Amino acid sequence: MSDRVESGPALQAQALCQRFAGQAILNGLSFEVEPGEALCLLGHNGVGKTTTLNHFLGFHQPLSGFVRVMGLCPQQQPLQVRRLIGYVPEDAALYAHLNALENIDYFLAAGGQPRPALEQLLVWLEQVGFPLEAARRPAAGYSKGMRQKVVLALALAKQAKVLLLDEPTTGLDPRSADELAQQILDLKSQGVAVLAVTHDLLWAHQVADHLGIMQAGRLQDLIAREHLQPHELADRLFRASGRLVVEEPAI
Amino acid sequence: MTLRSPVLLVALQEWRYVCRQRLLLWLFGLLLVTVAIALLQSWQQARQLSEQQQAMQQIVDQQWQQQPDRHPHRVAHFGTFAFRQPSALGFFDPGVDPQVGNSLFLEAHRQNPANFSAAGQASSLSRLGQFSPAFVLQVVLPLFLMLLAAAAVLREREQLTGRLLLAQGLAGWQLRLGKVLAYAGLACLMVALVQLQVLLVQVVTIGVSTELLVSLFGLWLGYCLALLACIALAVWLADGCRDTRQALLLLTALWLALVVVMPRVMPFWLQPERLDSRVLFDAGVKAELRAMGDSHNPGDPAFGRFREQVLERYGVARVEDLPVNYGGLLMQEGERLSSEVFERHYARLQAQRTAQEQRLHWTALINPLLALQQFSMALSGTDPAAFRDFEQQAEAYRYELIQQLNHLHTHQIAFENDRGQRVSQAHWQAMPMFVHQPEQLAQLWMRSALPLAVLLLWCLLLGVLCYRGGRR
Repeated sequence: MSDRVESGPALQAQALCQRFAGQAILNGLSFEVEPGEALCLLGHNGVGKTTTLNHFLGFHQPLSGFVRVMGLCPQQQPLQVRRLIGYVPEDAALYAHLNALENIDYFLAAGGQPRPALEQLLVWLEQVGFPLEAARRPAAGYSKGMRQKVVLALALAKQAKVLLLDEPTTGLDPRSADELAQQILDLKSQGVAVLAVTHDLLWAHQVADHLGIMQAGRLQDLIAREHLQPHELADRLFRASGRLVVEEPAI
Repeated sequence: MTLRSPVLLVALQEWRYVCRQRLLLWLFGLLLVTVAIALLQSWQQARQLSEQQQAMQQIVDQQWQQQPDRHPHRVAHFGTFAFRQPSALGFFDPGVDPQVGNSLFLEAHRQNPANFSAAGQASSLSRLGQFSPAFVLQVVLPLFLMLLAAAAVLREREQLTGRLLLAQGLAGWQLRLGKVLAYAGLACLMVALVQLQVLLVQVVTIGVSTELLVSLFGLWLGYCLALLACIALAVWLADGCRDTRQALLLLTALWLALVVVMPRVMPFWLQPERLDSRVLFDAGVKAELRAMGDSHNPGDPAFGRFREQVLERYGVARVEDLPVNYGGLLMQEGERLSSEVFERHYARLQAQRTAQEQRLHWTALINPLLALQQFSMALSGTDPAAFRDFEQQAEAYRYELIQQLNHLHTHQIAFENDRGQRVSQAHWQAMPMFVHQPEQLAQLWMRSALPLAVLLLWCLLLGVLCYRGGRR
């Protein structure tokens, strides 16, 4: 496969299968995300959402099927692929003894990205709503939301073509979650493809173009956002997990 | 490697982390102070030993010189001492010196074992082991660096920063080698600071020579390679460990095996036949000497063939008619034969020792710290081979001295009334005293080359393992 970034979907999973300890985790998962689109994967715990992200990052080798990022295979060209990806993990980890600027600078340099000027770093931090007065304080004192903003600023600094978010709103207050959603929408408008896995249905409904409900390692439903209200989404999700649906009381 | 190299960036970042950890800085400082204490104590002991030897040498020389006019064979039995000149770097790594002794009593007919070893003269508590800078560098520093390097790898994993780093496009091997480089750099710095302390002591006491500087550089190189191997081993193992607790247990067990157990157990395992004890060795030599005959007795039938050869060579019928003293000739012959017997037994013992040492050298292939131990002792001039060199120099001197006295006996003493005669003290006053010549640097390097090559091999192997990574 060439190093050239090919045209086509930004993210593609095709008949992806994976087993861990004899148990099927992914079982023929297929979907595509175009540039400037966002797909949120929903589903109960252990359904294979994070494992899917790990395949796009090249951390796992598929048992069968494949994944592509901008046409590149993460398993064969992991370093090239990772340089295209902005990744926001569930627990955005930073080096506690470094400040926000130093953290971004180090992560960029270690990944072989050009090191931006300090002023530019401050612009990116400001763009993601990070309080600039904290930019020179060690990250040991940052809240989870602040750490996530730093990691998001890192994705901006990388000029990532693809954004992967793993449970991004866990532990965030509603205001921070809303700010994060606005930033994702901004990135989408710049042509960034977004793949998020989350349990936060409202947030997913806010940012996604498509919502994918996973069950038993495959995509059971792929629904366009405009065709579904959040409470309907919850209903679908409960049905998918085989739980009793509680009727919403009439107002 | 450029400043943009990810490996170097990871290393720089780790140094930054270490510099901001006050506890770690205190620990490094404490280690340096520990080395300084070990250095001072070891140097003090070496200085005391050297002063004692100088004082003893003067007394022995005086006693030798002040012998009155006497029979040369009495002078041969009066004997003298050969003192071993302490190695210039003996206080850095005493090696086997505290166990083997520093002086030999030289006399006619027999080759005595070395005596007055530091361990033999020490109090029971200090026999537990000499505290030296080499001890700290070989025992304490590897554990310290292995734990720090393993913690550095596991910290990235457990705090999830490693995952984020990899997601930016950093390769796993770059992260691992960066950690190795960071702690190898610290190890190089620590060893350099210790060598600087050693150099300072030398500057203040005996001055600095090119040989010393080369040796110190060699020691720095060897210790850096060994510590690099330990760090790479720790990083590779930690990379394959489930969590910090598992890594801590594994590394502690490994350290115990490499540093404490193997160096003590290996010599026994690698000894298919036990070395002859000194008692057995002496008994074997004595048994052969008894069968050889008594060279003090000109009428001993065991020397009948020798007597016939002498008479034939000089063309006389009786020993009394010889132009030289037959008793002196017999002494020369007896000394030659007894030396031959000793040399034969000694060679057999040496062959056993050499075979054992060679097997020990091979064990360095499974333990880099054994290679370091061998390298450090060899380059410091305190290994068993350096002691054997002293033994051989002393024996060569003893044989020459006794044969000179036997020559005097032959030519200055008449056969008739042999024991009632004397020769002038001027004869032995003119004889040179023993001066131990420490081995040349080239010889020390030749012995150090093999363990150094083994250390290099270890570094290459572990470098490859770190590059390929552990299971996780």
